[in-house]
Amino acid sequence: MLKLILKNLWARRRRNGWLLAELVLVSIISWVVLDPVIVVTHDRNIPLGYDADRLCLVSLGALQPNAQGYDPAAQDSAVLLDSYFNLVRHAADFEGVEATAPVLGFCYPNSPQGNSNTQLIAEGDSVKVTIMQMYFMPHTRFFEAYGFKEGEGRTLRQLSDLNYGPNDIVLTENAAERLFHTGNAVGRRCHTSGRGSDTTFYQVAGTIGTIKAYSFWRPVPVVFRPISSPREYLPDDARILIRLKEGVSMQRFLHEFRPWMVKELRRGNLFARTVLSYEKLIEEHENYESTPIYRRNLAMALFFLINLCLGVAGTFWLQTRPRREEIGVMLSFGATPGHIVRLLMGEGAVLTFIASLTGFLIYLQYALKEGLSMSMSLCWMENTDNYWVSDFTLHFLIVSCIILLILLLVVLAGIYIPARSISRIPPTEALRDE
Amino acid sequence: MIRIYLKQAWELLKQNKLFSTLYIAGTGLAIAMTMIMAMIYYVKLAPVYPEVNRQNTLYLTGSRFEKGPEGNHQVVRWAVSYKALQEWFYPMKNALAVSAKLANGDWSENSYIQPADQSGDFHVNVRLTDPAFFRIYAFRFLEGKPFTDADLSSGICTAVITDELARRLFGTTEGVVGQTFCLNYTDFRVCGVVRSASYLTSKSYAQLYVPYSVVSDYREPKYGAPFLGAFSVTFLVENGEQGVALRNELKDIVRRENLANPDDWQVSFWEQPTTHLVSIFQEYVSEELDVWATVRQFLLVLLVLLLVPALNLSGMIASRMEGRLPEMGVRKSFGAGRGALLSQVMWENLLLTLLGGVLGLLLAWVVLYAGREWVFTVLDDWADAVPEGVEVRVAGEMLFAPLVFLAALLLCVLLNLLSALLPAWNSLRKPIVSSLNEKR
Repeated sequence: MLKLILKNLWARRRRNGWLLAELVLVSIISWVVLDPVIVVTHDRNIPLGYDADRLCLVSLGALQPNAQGYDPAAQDSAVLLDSYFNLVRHAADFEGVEATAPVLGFCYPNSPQGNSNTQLIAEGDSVKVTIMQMYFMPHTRFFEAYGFKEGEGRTLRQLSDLNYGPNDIVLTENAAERLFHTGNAVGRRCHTSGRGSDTTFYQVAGTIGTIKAYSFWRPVPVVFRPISSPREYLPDDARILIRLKEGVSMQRFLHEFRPWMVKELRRGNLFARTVLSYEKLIEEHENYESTPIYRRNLAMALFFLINLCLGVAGTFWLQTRPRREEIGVMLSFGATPGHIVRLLMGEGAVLTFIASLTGFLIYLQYALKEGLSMSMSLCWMENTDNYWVSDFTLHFLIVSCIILLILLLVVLAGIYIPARSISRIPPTEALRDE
Repeated sequence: MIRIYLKQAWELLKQNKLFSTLYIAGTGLAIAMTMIMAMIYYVKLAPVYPEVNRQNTLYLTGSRFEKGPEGNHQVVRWAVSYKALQEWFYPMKNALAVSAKLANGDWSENSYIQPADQSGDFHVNVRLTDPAFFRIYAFRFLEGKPFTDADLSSGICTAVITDELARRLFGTTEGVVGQTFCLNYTDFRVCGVVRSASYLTSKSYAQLYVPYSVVSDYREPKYGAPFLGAFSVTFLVENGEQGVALRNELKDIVRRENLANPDDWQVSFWEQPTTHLVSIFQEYVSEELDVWATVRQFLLVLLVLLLVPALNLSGMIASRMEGRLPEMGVRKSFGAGRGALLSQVMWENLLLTLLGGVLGLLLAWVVLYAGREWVFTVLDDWADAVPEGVEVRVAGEMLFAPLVFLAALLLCVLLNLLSALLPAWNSLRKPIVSSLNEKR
């Protein structure tokens, strides 16, 4: 059948020339447009490393001096801190809450406010590893509340309950691998690349499973540092993390929690202002950074693919008349309608193959010079772990295959209905036109 | 003659339903995409309530101050201070109105209203500005009037609220003037209620408008530079020439200031105040806008969006022309010139393209309305999600403007030319005898 297909294509090469040109153009445009979409989808689907669908974050406000109910005595540092921890404990009393933990500062997983990073060097080594910093309070079950995976060395419970010195840190597994080439880095030391003669050494107290700092980034190395002076974060950068029990619906929980929170979650001059589910937080941040390009590119891809489908359908349908005789002859020699349909679809498939290969080769020249689409995290830092998106060859081959499949699908869909109608011509009618 | 062509075209359309459907669908999609892009930019550029004076509005949003010798060089960038407003901007001669907006972090980003029924604070978008703001933007006052210069200088807590906020706070938009509400734990008195601007007109949108003197330190400059602060300025001029005169006036002020204090902070405003048109396409006020690069980029996008459908449609028309060769042969043998035949084919195609254009326009409207929360920012690099509780209003004047229809018509004609001219011309070159002999 392949020989017949090729002969047919060559015979109508003028008509098929248009279609080939369009297919080449669409395959190049698809590459440009779908590459970022595929990379972003891939990155978003890497597991977060913690359990975001049972988490929500409460942000606090503080009464101003001219407000009703303001208590000047409660502005004292110690009293403020006390009120804060009281709120954290009180929130745990609400039905459906499994655990709560204080979250201070703007450096927490998926923080929309910004992030902080630094460079660490393992003791005895000279490689600088750029690493994200996050802060936590010891003795507050921070790690269990977030639901991180346990790493080697110490359990989450032990990590939360440890008496941290100012230079003790907790690393994620990928950070430990990067710095010390092992998953169990308890007791190892590292330092920053500071100037001056005094180097502060940080001692690793334990590791947790790899996490994604932002939902649309790939996993990067993260270090958790204990907070020594929590007062400076109150009240604007102080939040309460709430972890729900299994089986509790987030929507229903929020619906019931909000009114209770507004009335009951107040201590001294601090009060709970808003509550947001972690999923909503992630969605809002993604909306800001990665969703516009995603939507834009998907819309363009859809546009070009629909046009392609219409074009293919149009070309093949309008060939019905001219090809009647030929189909009539084939049918009268014993071909089945299914055979005809397969023949026509085969023509479309061969055209697509040739056009895509050409288009991909052209794009390869551009890609070799400019590089393929990168993840958003690579603008800042190197990611650990090997994903196929980071390897040029694998990335190019896999995305090419995906695009080829999409194009084949669209072309075959466009050909199918005209093919069916052509194949159902009664042979006598077709031959009568001779 | 054209009427006959159109009647004939209508008949052909009904006879070749398949071809017509495919053609109209293809055209409709292309027109829809280009119209969506066109309307997104229309909303950003054209006069829309309340920014009806967009072609005469200029903005100044950034400044750069530097001082010090090599080795101790300091550079700070932000906007302008109250002192700069008093000494430089408010007294400017080449402007009809000058308004300043304070971008103080706490008040403009972190303002919460404490509702009377204790149902929990909610966040509001506050604009800290002056009475001239209401002279530049043509807000419709449903009740009351804007706050006055006296209000501004006394620092009184008064506010102009939108009808949406009035309904949320008081349940009604009538009899609201004079009532109070609690914003950031301070009691504010309502002095006017306006019809809300759309979220899409970001330069004038807010849920309430408050004099900037409520912020306690509004007179203080920042970072030790006396003219540096957080105020950005908007100017209303009479026409383009006054705009140029305004820019020159500012350049004079800057030059005098820099010459008078050579050892102190040197100020630079680059090419500001910028016109509205330039501000939409300019990413940073410090960079000069490369007009040709922007135009080239848009033309390229337009070309790509129209070219692929045009290729499709060309293919389809070429097939159709094959079937009409006998008809053309007959007309040629009766003396029709190539020009007449070509014009007939083009008019027939124009009818189909116009039908497709109407379909495309309808599709564009549906998409823009249904996706109004995100479609208008889909071409920007960074997009803020619409805050909770805020309704994005797409007014009729944004979607149904005459310019929009004109643009759609022009696009249709362009698409028609791109797709039909070449195939039609090609097929009409065949000699009469072979056309007549063509069986199909």
